Order: sequence, then C-alpha cells, then structure tokens
Amino acid sequence: MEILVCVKKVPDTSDAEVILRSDGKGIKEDDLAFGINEWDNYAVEEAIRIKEAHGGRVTVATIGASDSEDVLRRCLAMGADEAVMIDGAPFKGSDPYGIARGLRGAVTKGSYDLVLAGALAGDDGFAMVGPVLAGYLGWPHATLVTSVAVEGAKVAVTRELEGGLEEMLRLELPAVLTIQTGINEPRYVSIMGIRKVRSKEIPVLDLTAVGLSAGEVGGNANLLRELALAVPPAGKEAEIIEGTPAEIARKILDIVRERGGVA
Amino acid sequence: MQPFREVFWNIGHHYIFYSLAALATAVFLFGLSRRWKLWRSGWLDKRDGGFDWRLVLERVFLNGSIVKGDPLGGITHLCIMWGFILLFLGTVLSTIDHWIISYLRGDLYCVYAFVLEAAGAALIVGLVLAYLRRYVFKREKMVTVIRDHVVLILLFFIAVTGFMVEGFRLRAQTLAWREPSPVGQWIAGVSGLSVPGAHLAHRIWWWIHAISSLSFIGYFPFSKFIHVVAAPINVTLEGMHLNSFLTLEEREALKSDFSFRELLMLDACTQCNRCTVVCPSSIANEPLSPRKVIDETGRFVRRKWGFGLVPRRGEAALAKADAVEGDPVWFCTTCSHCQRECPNAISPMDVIREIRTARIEGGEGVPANIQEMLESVYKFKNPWQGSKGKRMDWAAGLDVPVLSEGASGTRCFYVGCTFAYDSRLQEVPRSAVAIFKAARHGFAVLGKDEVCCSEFIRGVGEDGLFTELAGQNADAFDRYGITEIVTPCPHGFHTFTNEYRRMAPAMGARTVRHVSQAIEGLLASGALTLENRGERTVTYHDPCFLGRRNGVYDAPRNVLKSIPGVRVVEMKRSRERSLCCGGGGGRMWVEAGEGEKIAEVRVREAAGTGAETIVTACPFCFTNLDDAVKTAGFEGKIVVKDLTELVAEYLPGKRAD
Repeated sequence: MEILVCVKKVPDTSDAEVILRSDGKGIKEDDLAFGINEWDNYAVEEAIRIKEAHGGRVTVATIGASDSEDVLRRCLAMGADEAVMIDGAPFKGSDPYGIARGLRGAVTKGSYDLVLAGALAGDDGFAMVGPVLAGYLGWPHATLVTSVAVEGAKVAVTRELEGGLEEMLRLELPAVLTIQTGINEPRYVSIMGIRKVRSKEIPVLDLTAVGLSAGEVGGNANLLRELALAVPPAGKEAEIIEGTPAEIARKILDIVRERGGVA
Repeated sequence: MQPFREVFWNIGHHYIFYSLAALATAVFLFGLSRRWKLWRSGWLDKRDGGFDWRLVLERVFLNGSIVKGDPLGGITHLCIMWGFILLFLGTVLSTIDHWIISYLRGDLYCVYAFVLEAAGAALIVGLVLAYLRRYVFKREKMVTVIRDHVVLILLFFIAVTGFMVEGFRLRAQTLAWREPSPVGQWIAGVSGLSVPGAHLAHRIWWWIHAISSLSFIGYFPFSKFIHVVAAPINVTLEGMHLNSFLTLEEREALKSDFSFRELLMLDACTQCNRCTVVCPSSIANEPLSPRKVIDETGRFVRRKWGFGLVPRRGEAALAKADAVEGDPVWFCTTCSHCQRECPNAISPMDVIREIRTARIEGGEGVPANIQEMLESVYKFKNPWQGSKGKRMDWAAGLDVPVLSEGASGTRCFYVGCTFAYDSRLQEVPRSAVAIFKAARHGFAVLGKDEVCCSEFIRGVGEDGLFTELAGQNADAFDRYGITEIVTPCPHGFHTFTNEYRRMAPAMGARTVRHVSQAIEGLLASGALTLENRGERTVTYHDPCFLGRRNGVYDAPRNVLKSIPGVRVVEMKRSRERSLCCGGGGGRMWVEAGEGEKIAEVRVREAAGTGAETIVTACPFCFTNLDDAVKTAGFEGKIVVKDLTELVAEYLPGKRAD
C-alpha cells in the first residue's frame, strides 16, 4: 500500500490573539507559534497505522518554503518513509484549486493507492484541497473520515455526518480520504526522534517537476477571490445569573423552559 | 588449662564438610559474579569523587535512616545485621585460628565466646522482632511475599541450631573452666541429656546447623540478602553526587538501556514499602506505588535476562518502556520523598523517569494531556499555549527593565511561564518587582527571550526537549551577560542550579537564588523593611523543588518570621517530610482519579493547624492548593498566598487589604 499524505504548516490560533494585517488580507504572524495542521497530524498517524498493518510506504508532501521543513521532519520522525517538498514560492496567494493542482503533480509522480489529507486546515479552514485533488485525479473520495479499513483493492470508511450520524462507504482504490480529528490517537514525536531524521534528504520539486506552468498557480490563477478579512462583531454580552446555587439552577431551568428546551 | 574451643570436636569426616563448603562457596561466588556482571552491563554515570564516609557510617553501619521514624524497625534491623556480621566475623576468626595461627585461647577466647553469644542472642531477638512487626503489629502497609518468610525462617533456624549445638557440646564436654556462654549453659541444663546422649545430639545437630548455614551461603546472592552487597554500594554512590548529564544522543551510543546505578538499585531493594507509605500518589489512593515499580522493574530485568544472568552480546536492547505495565508511571509527582525515605538510597522516582523517557521516545502510551503539554512547550516555549506576545502581560503598567528590548543588567529576574501567563499568579512577579524596587535591588527580565525552564519536561522524561529549551535560556543568559538569576519558581531554580551544573560547568557557574532567598537577604541587610498590618497566623507549605530537592527550608520561614505580626505554625508533615501538592513531574496535566486529591489531603492538614493562610512559594503548589481549598470546602476558612505576594502586602506605604 503506497500512501501519500498532504500536510501543511499552520499557525496555532486556538489561544492566540489574532491581529489583522493593515492591508486586511491576512493576519500578523510575528508572535504566533507554527506547527503541523492538527487534522494532518491525524492523517499521518492513520497512514502509518495502515502501513504497519498492511505494509507499504508512507510519503508526506507539502507545498511550502524551507520553514515548512520541520513539519516534514516531524512526520518522518513519526514513521513516514519519505518526504517531498513542493517549492511554495510560485503558489503564493493560491486558492485551494491551485494547491490541489500542485499536489496532483506530487501524486502523479508516484504510484499511490491512497492519498490522505486533513479534513481541513486550521488557518483558512476551506476543507477543499482533498475533494478538489480527487476531482483533478478523477479518483473517488470521502471527507471527514473517522475510520479506515483496507479491504484488498477497496477501502471501507466511515464519515462523520451532522447530528451524530455516520455514513459507511466502500471506495475503489486509488482514492482520496480527508481525515477528521479523533480518528486515532497520534503518537508522540520526541525531539530526539526529530533529530534522528535531521539528515534525511527531502527532495524539492519545482513547478515543472509537478507538471505545471507559472500561469496555473498563484493569485492570478485563482477561481476564488479573497476580498477582505474581518474580525466578527462582538456578540451581545452574556447575561450573568446571580444568586445562591439553588436560585441559579432555578433561573436556568426557567430560561430553558421558556425557550422550549424542556417539555 | 586455658579456655579454648576445639574446632571439629566430636565431628568426623571433615572432607564431607569441606566439600559441601566448597560447593556452597562456589554457588555463592557464581551468583555474586552474575549479579556483578549484570550491574556492570549498565552504563556508568559520572559522579563527584569523594567517598562520603559519614553517610556510609550513618546509613550502612548505624542504620540511621531506618531508625529515624521507625525506631522498632531500626532496632530490629540493627540486631539482625550486627548479629549476622559478628557471627560471620567469628567464623572467619575461628578459621584463622584453626588453619593459620592458634590464638583464641584464655581470656581472648572468653571475650570471643561471649561476643558471639551476644551476637547470636541479638540475631534471635532481631528475628523475633521482625516476625512480630510483620505479623503481629502489622506495620502500616507492609507487604509480605514468600521470599520474606524464607529468609527469616532460614536465619532463625541457623541461629537456634547454633545455640543447640553449643548447648549439647557444653553438656557433653567436661571442661576445666566455665564458658562465658549463658545461653549455651542454659540449653545444656534444660536439655536433660546424658553425656553419651549429648554427644550424639551434638553430632546430629552440628551437621544440620552446618548444612543449613552452607545452604544460606549458596542462597544468599539469589535472595533479598543481595541487598547486603548492593545497598552499601548504592549508598556510597549516593554520597558521590551525580555531576553529569547524558543527552539522549550520548545515551544511544551506550551498550545498555539501564545504568549501573539503576540495576544496582533494583537489587538493593528489600521491598520494605517505606517509599509507598510516603508517596503522595499512594496516599491519595492513586494507582502508583513506588515499591511496586521497583519490584516490577526488577522482575522485568530478571525475566528478560534470567536470574542474574547477563545478556549475550548483541542481544536486542531492553524495551524498558514495558518494564511497568500501564499508567502508574504517569502518576509520579517527582517529589523525591521515596528517594529521601529509602534506607538503601534507592530512587524509584528516577527509575520511573527513565521508564517515561523510554515511552516518550517510543511515542506510545503517553497520556493525551501530557502530549498536548509537550506540544505546547515545543511550539509556544511554555506549557500554557501562551503566545510570545503575551509573555510580558504580567508587567502591564509597571516600569520593568526588559533585556530583549534593550535594557541592561546582570541580575536576571526569571519570571517563569506560569507566573507570566496565569492571570491570578501574575500578581506574584508584580509583587516581586514592588519588593525589588522598595529595596532598590536592581534587576532585569528576559522578556520575549524567556522560555520554559522545562524542569517538568525532564520530569516527564522528554530529555530532548528539555536540553533544547534549557540551552535556549542558557544562551539568553550568556548573551545578556547575566551573572545572577533570581526566580520565584522552584522548578526554574532547580533547572538553573542542579541540571545546569550537570550539563556543563559553565552553565552552572551563575549564582541562582530563589526569590525567598533574595528577600531573606534584603531583610537581613536592612534594605527591605516591612510594616505591621495586624496579627495573622500562617502555615508554610514546602514546595518539593525548593525543599526536598534543594534543601531550601529556612529562607522562606525566616522571611515569614520577619514579617511583623505574622505567626508561623508548622504542619505535621513539613520540611523534608512535607507532602507534595501533587503538581510536579507533569502532574499538573494528568487528570487525577475519583478520590480525594493529593492537594485536598494537604489543605485539610493545613486547616488543622488553625492557620488562616497557607503560604507557599511555587506556582504549581499555589494552583493545586488554591483549587483544593475550593473543592474540599475550605473557602472562606483558609486562603492560599504566594510568599512574595504576602511580603508585598507588608511593604511600607502600601494600603492594607
């Protein structure tokens, strides 16, 4: 089983104060901490588990500059066999279509049975690259995957639907799956583990190597146009209920009743 | 005729005895050499030379650490140990007398006989006490397995048959003198045997005594008696302080997953359970028992390598991560109470840490919360996912010299992550700044260049991450020409003193003081004066990394006693016996079980002193105790304060709360 996992380096914005750039087209990154996209981490772990169970090789790919190398090395330390970097400079400003075209080049350079990607990225949150990549490749795909079982030339997956429902699908290989968090428990990667793969060579693919020309990537080739980023207006201030715990409980019950929460 | 004792009196066929003795000795030496080779298969850590004879005298020969806190246990062990040693020496002296030079005659013989008589009696008294302790008094949480019976019964049998042989001999012999052997005389009297009967009884029991003694010699290196060899070596090594830090890269090049010291510790353990009795995790009924960790790791090594057998060259490295099953190792708070309590200087804490390292490097079996914390430290350089931009938020509105923003100074105030990012605890560095300013004590902070001290990262076992961040702070100290570090965090204090010193002499060359020591100095020199703000009773909770780990007990107490109007009362468990808050070793990030939390046990104890304030000097202690005050229902009855914060309340001119 040859598996390619698409990963991305993103800023951790869970607890950080996000400040817009003055041009309104991005956020200030100076004080932000960067790391592997959380969804991608689950995807890498899942790929390694499939490899451990069925044999084969895991390759990780990213589109980025040399500062994304640490993310690839982290994946190698986790157990990926190879890493590929697609030079990110021409992709500056690319929308998910442009990124997917770049990744298509990495996929077609090898002979992969399965491509995994995170269901979405923690920074822009498009959740598009996986499905669009599948479209370009002409492969079947499933998104928000919460379990994967390889069955010969097919793969059985469950997907997360709304309201706690799950959909079970069987796809022909090769296929693209986008992985939801919680599908597994990613192993810990120690600093020592990362240091051990320090000298492993990571090939860098330029545009021609992924079969693209300059006109097919970058902001000008985008199908999506970003107009502006804005901080959502602060919502109405929360109401603080005061009193003894018993009184508070009673008031909460009244509110829930009033709004039809309790029959 | 002079008093003396004829060796082999009434005994023939000496060759049988000598053959058996040779066999027993061979088995003994074989077992011992196997053990020694097993220990030597571990790697050696570098230690400061110096043989600490005081420690060896106190711990090994006087059993000081057993007597302390458990006098009956101490007396029991002293009786058995000295009885055993003297009887062994007696046999050696007798052998010399028989084979080399005959000197045990006359008065010297009488002294010799009497001393051995006393040693035998002491041995029997000790063994009876041991049995009483184990089965009648049932000392707290004492654990007994078959091996414990075997050693006690075997020794008892040897001691009793020894006296019987002596008694029968005295009954059978017609001596021109009276031997100074009251027990033997007594047995001779009550035996009621005829002289020929005593001859026969003597011969039979002599052989039984001889064979059981020789069996004991052979069994020795394979039983818990191996502690007789392992423990003194281990105590000696403890006295030769560790002064090296092997990085994981250096460890990779070594032949074994275990160090000499670790393998030695596993054999030095007698399963006395003192460690578990004081372990905060065990006290809170969590799944960790340090005794069990040593037991299981010892079994693991023996299972893997046979009974004291050495692994063949090239054999795959031990999967140390599996030495102890399941989660218990993640409950250790690295409070070091187990190590402190162990009479044989064993450190279950360090064995646990090593197992954690093996798991971390293996990547599996690391609790999710610990992983998340480690990821945070890797990404954000602090465990609280605080962004770099917020590192100086604590100083809002204060005029603080920041080195990363161009200020200068050689005394660095190292704030620490929790004090910098926790909104409640930010009051502590703010108070420190107020105190330093009041005392005109110069300082500067690293600002954005400050990263996590990573002490608990090392405690968790992620040595790679620890060395990386410890190096980053050290580089920053170098870059700004820092000569002195003052910190309110005992964990940073520990890293900058002990770990830095072990990592490189240059790194450990700076003066490092906990803020309590700095304040103590300012008060002593008169640079700082405090005002009376009314009567207040406080109790001081020793943070493990200030107290037990670094011996700083008096500075915070002296500071408290210098505050006019403040009265200090001590908890039952204080100073080296202080109970951990439950927050060290990464435990801040491990979910506690269902039962009473460690910190709740502690708050209950503090409330029992009648104090209205628990003072501590550590961000983890503060957080845990403060939470426990709420969860254990002590809100309104007792409050938790950091020492620095408390001192600042008494600064001249400051409005009383």
